[in-house]
Amino acid sequence: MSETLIRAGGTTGRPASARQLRRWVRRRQVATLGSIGLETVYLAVLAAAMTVALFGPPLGRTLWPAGPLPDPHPLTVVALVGVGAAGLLAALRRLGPVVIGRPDASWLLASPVPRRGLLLPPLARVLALASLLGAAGAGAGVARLAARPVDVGALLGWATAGAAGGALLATAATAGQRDPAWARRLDRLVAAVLLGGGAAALVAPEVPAPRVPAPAAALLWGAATVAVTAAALAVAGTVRRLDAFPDRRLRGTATLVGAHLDAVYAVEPSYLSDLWERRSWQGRRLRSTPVRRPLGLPVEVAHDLLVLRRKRRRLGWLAAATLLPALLADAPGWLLALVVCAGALGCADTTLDAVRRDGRQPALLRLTGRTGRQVVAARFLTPAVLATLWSAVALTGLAVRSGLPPGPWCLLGLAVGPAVAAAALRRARSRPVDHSMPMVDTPMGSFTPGPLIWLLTGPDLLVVLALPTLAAMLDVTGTGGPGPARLLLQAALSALGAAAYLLLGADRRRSLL
Amino acid sequence: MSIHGLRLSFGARTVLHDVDLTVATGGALCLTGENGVGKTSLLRCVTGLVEPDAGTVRVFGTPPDATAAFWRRVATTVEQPSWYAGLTVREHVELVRLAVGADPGDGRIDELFATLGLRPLADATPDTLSSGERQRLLLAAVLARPSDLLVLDEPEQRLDAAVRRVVAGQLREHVAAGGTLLMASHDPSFVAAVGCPVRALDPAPAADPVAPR
Repeated sequence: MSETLIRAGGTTGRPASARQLRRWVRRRQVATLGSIGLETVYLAVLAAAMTVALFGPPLGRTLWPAGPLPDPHPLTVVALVGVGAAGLLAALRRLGPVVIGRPDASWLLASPVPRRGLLLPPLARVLALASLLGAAGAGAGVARLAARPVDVGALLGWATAGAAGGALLATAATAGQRDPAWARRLDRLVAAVLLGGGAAALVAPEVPAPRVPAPAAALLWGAATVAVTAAALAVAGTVRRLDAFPDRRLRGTATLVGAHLDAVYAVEPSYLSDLWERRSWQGRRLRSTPVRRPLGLPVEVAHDLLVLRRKRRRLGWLAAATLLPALLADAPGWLLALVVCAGALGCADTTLDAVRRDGRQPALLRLTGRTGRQVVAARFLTPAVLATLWSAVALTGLAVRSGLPPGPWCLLGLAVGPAVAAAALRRARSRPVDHSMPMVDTPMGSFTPGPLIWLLTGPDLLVVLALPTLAAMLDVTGTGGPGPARLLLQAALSALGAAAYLLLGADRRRSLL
Repeated sequence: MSIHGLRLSFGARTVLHDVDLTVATGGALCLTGENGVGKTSLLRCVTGLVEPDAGTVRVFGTPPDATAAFWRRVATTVEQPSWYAGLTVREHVELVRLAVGADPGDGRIDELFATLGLRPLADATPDTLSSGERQRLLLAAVLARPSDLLVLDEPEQRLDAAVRRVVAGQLREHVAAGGTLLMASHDPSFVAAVGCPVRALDPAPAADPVAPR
């Protein structure tokens, strides 16, 4: 092997293949670091066994319920298939999907190694993963729709079609990674399918449902064969174009995925939000706008409004997401409460990157000569308006579609907004994970509480300040909808909680967050 | 601004040892010396970003307390800001000027952008700038806002000769208008262009080895 590499170094002009290089690197690593020890294998097997034991049964029940759904609406089924496929495509696009390691991106991409050999293993991994998810999705769909006992042949046919569909999505995502024009087209398609699917699922109960019989075996297998053929052709085309894959895109993906792996390895996810924010602005062409104080409001509000204007796409998604709780109207109360809280917090977070940045490095804050309290109060205003509007619309839609008791849900949404904004602000100001805390012993073993505390910073305040709204959604007291008393209580809690946080939670003299 | 008996160590290494200096209001002083003699550390002590081990530092008659009131009078390039994502170069400078109560549309920023060569970069975002361009942005942000004391760490660093002359002119104007200037520099021609007195810092004496008990 070394001789081949030496020859590749210039004596014969024939470069070593990616497989040869990888094998050589692996041997050198084994020679230096030793091979994987028994202890590592034991830990990996134990971790896998515990994961299966903990999450296997509920996952199995979710994928394969005891019986099919009673009388499912065909429009809902089509919408769910579309949303599932668009979701998988969007996830693959975010992931890369062709990912090589950072060392490979640094060393092998700069060498004259044929790209196809270098990229075939990661492409195969993505295809396998997408096919697996496609097959699992198709199987879960059959489990919800097919009468029992399920015909094994039909199940296999659907799983084959699902796997081929997954592979097709992976090749489409790879084309998007290679070519920005394809990326734009795919992103538009994902947006259209997600919005269309959501709207279809929303109106489905209002539309008469025709009976749709299960397809005949010949038709099903014919469709599966077409899907497999299309997937095979798409994969062949993708493999042929691997040699022309742009290095820049591979490096960007390697850095992104590497940063996420670092965050997992070091249990330090706090810097990922900065990474995502920077990535969301990458490639944007901005034009300077005069920065002026709107209606005499603080300068930070002018900044937030400017950022908001530039995040119109995110605002569009957030507006569409207000219908998500209504879509999930039949879900358990705890899931609805979780979706409403996560949506409102995400909406309030739209302009809070500046707070994270100033909290980490307050040099700009010093340059502006503003106190921590002034800045926190000013940065609170825009998230408060956003969260208030989002909560009001989301709760109104939910009340219309779900079996929640009647009441002024819209007003309750308006009342809870400031509480959400205060919680989002607390989350944005959270410090990095503290790994120096003493270990906590539990029957399952010891763990360091730092990551858990970091994760709960923000939601903890929300649970306290939004208690009346959460109680109304979960109907824990069995007293029905949000009456005037609960509404007043929520408004008072929001106002007092937010005021206390802004007054007591920030430095009133120093330029520090 | 006055400093008496200033001492600062990082671990076993003494960086500043019994430093005394005074700069009158409306005066200027440039610190020079080899790498590691403590120029930047002294500037950080003056701005309150580092707590000295011993000695007194007084700025405008009081210790630098890092309050917002202090920072409204003092502007510094001792630390590189973490620029906001999604905001252009021009908007950053306007934001700083607006925050301190000045008018961002009064022509001061236009003048700075023209003289510092930032006009073609006005619509760029700071993360796309080179280190020299980022230094010009920081200087523009510092000079765009009114301040009584400028604390600048090697303002000439990474700048072209033409821009250095412009910066030197801006600093002369600041002092002529009654402002105070304390800076560190490695470039004698830049210091001469600014026309301020020089104080060469000497390396601190090596710490005594631990005496045997």
